[in-house]
Amino acid sequence: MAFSYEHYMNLLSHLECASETVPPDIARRIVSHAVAPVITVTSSLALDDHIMESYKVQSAYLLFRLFGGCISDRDQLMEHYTLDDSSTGGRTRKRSNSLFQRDATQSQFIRFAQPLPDLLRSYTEQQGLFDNDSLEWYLTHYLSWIQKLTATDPEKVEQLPDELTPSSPPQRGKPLPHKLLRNAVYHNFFALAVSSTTRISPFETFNVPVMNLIAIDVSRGQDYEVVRDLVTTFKNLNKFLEDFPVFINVNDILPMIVLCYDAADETQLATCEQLQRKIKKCLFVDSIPLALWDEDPESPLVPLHEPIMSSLDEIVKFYSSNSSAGGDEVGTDGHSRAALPLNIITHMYQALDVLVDEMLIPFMHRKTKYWEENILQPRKSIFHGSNNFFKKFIGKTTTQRDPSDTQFFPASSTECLLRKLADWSLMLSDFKTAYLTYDSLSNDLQNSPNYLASCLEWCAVSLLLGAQNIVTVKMIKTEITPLIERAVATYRQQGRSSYETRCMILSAELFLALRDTWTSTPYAIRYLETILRDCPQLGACSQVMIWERLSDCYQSRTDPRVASALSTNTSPGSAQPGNEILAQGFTRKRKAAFFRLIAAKKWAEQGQWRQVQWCLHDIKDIYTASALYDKKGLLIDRLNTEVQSFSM
Amino acid sequence: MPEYFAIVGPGDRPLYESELGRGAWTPEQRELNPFVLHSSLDVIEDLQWQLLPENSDTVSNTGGGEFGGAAQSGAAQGGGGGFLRSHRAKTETDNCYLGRVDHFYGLAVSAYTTYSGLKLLMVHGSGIVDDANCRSFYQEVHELYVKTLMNPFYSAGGSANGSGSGTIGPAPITSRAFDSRVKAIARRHLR
Amino acid sequence: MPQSRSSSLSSSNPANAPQVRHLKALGDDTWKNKVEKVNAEFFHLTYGTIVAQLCEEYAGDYARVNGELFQIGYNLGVRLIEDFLARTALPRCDTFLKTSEVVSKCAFKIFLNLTPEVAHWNAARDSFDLVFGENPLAEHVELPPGASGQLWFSNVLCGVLRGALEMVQLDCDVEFVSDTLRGDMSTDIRVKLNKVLRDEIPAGED
Repeated sequence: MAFSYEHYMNLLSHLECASETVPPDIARRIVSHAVAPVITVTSSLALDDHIMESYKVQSAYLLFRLFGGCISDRDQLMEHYTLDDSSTGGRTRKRSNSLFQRDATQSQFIRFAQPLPDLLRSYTEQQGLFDNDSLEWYLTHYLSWIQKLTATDPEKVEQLPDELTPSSPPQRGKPLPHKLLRNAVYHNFFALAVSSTTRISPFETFNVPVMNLIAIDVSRGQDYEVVRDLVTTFKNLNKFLEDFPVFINVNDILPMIVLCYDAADETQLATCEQLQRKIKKCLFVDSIPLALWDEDPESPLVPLHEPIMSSLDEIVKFYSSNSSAGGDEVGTDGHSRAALPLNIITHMYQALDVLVDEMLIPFMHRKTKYWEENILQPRKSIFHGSNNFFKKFIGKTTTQRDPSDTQFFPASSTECLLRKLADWSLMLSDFKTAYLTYDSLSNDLQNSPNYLASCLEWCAVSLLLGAQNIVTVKMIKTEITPLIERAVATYRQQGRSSYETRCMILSAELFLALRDTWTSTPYAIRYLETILRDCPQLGACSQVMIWERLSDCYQSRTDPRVASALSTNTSPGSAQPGNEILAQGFTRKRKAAFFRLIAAKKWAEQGQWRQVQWCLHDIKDIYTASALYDKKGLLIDRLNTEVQSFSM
Repeated sequence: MPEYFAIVGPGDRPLYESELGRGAWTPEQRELNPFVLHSSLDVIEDLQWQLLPENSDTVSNTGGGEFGGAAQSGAAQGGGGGFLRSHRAKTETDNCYLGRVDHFYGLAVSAYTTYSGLKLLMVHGSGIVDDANCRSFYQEVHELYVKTLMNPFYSAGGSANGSGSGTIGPAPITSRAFDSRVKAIARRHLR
Repeated sequence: MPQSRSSSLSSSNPANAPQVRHLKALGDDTWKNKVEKVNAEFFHLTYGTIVAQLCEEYAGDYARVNGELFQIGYNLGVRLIEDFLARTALPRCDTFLKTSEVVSKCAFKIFLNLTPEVAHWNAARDSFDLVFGENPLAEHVELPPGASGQLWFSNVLCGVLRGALEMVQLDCDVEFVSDTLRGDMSTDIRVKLNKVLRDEIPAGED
């Protein structure tokens, strides 16, 4: 079984993979995932009831959301590759694991979301990107899970600290390696901080749905009339809903009918096909059949894991319901999972492939191409970039704001469309168009700081994502960092602190994912330190996560001139610092150890003793060499004593 | 403001440490100081290859002090590097003084490295490094250290036949005379 | 042969002043013109290392170290006296007072470029102290904590004096009475004459 993106992001459920490694550019995949196209799921009540009866899942949305993430990985089927192989004629076998694809853009990510009305309701409640308290709540919860998971197996726990010998052959009772796990914890935190919400922001369109699934239950006799009503409702949402935001255009959301049927009944597929033709002809809407029921006694029931990324609210809800119900029972499968028969899962993935590859992506390409040709190109040819003087004259292109809602640009405005073009290009991994569009747009938004901040931020992100290997020091200095700094400053002026934090945490992580770590890590470090200094509203555990990340930054900082020499020369004898005179000053291992120590100290303040143990374990070697590890009266000595008295 | 001074030998082993200056460190800071110094060794080893910039104050931001180093490593590649090189050296030990090399949340770290790779470092509680005074302080302590090495009873290396304590490099300096002389030098130069 | 011990032996003897000046000039001249010099650091490290090594090998048995140093010095002294006489061509001293001046102004000057003060004559005029203002052997030396009351770091000097004087038929006890290394006010070596040996008996065989 291959180690996959899903394994990494849900590492707690896959502790057997804890000694794997992830590619350094994992953050790019997480970002791709975080801005993946949103698909909302609406369904008829009959369908929801039917799903509840059959699979104990409350609604079609709740079922679909389990299939979000990297659909090309088919991660819900990971454990069943061989079975899957036989059932689909070896087709999935060829799928390469997204984690190890050289080009991260080859993996297709999607996100599922609640129906639009629900999304909009939560939008009005709160403006922030994430709520520090929920994030903190989740984090402490997650950490306590780790604490328990690494402790419930006495064999693992007894030997967790210190005597970790990676060269020894795997054996029973081998200590659980924590390096990957810790990374995974950070990236979980990172994913949440970057995209912890499906709330729709007026200033960026990542969370505005691209596609809306309308699912009905053919097996329960629902037919064309039901579809028509649902489609009509959807198309007229802006009229039905009070306060429908001006910046959303329902026409930019592709409706898609999902006809759920029972494959055991052979007539139903024919009914579906008939229905499909009629829908296409009368409603001009595409549809696909989905065999959501298929009696097959051979097909085993496969438990489904939680989606890799879902909104913080959902996660909090999920964990809090499980922690109260689960009690002590917290194994790797501690919570009650939804389960589907294997063949249904396969049907789901096949339907999703069609949905995404044949509907969603072509739709987005069509739209972006249209916007590019009709909005972006004309501007370029007339103004050659940014001649503001002419722009003012030809005032038509810069739209007046909607009088009823002076805060926001309406969906039809140039600004909104350009922003959408840029965001969608980013989703489609067309970083060049994204960058050019953001860049051009940022010139128009000088007087709309709310819009400007996000635009600048993503302008920088598209550069970092698009030019991972050719980013030079000069480019970082003259283009990327000014963008980020302006974005941060603008967010700050607007008092949108959660976005400010996201901007820095995001760019820091993307800097870390660049190839030349010697050049890029100082920037990552700078932003992380700025977060620690300027974002006091961040919860305590969240802050320690940043401290840990700082240590990771320093750890990965190695001058390219000595990087190869270091990796080849690492024999046990030369592990002592100071022995490699040529490498002197070309690494930051001691800085890394120091920040790890600070993190340990802060974990101790939070009572996270497992984390303290891990930190102390990591810094043991370097501080033993310098005789600081056991020295009385120093911090490590105190922490070691505390760990022993408090933990386990 | 208090200062924490240490001499660090090969293998990052501290040879001598002392609290100097006025006032006392908080207990919290006291248990952290050796680690602050230890963490700056990376930066010092980076700087030791480089031409000293015109102004020794190399660091500009408020965090870990890494950012100045990034700009400089470019200069080092151009200049070819070399151990403790500078065009401005007036005396033999002029290059040894590296000035303020690092900082950590309100604390500044200054450093001095000898041609044998011995490192003298100080955490400045005030966050300010007075270059002129610091330079004199370090140079005098360096001289004092050379004299200490001349003491035949001070173990300046391992044992030739391998029967020593197993460690390579100078032993910790336990001499009380050394301690009091360092403190006297500090009184003269550090306020 | 110093036979006229009854002659005027006062601690400050103006009658001897010209003689003393002569000895001083002789010492200075020999030091300047006839002696090969060696780097001071090299010199005191060489000696210091020997002492430190002895201390390590005898595991802190400082009485033994003192004895060993004395023996080394003795072996040096019995040789050095020949070299000394060859360089200076000094005649035999007729008084112990003169001996003290030769030791101070010539011997120490030539070999170590220093001139310890002769002081503390006893009433019997057979014992004096050499008071060292500086001691090139002990430069930069700091005794290990346990050695302070026991080790005479420069004990080799006593051995040298003993050996050299013995070769000119003066049987003397030579020992340290104080050492600045131990925290004393000054570094003093006491030289006490036991008896004048007869010529025909070879040194060290009685």
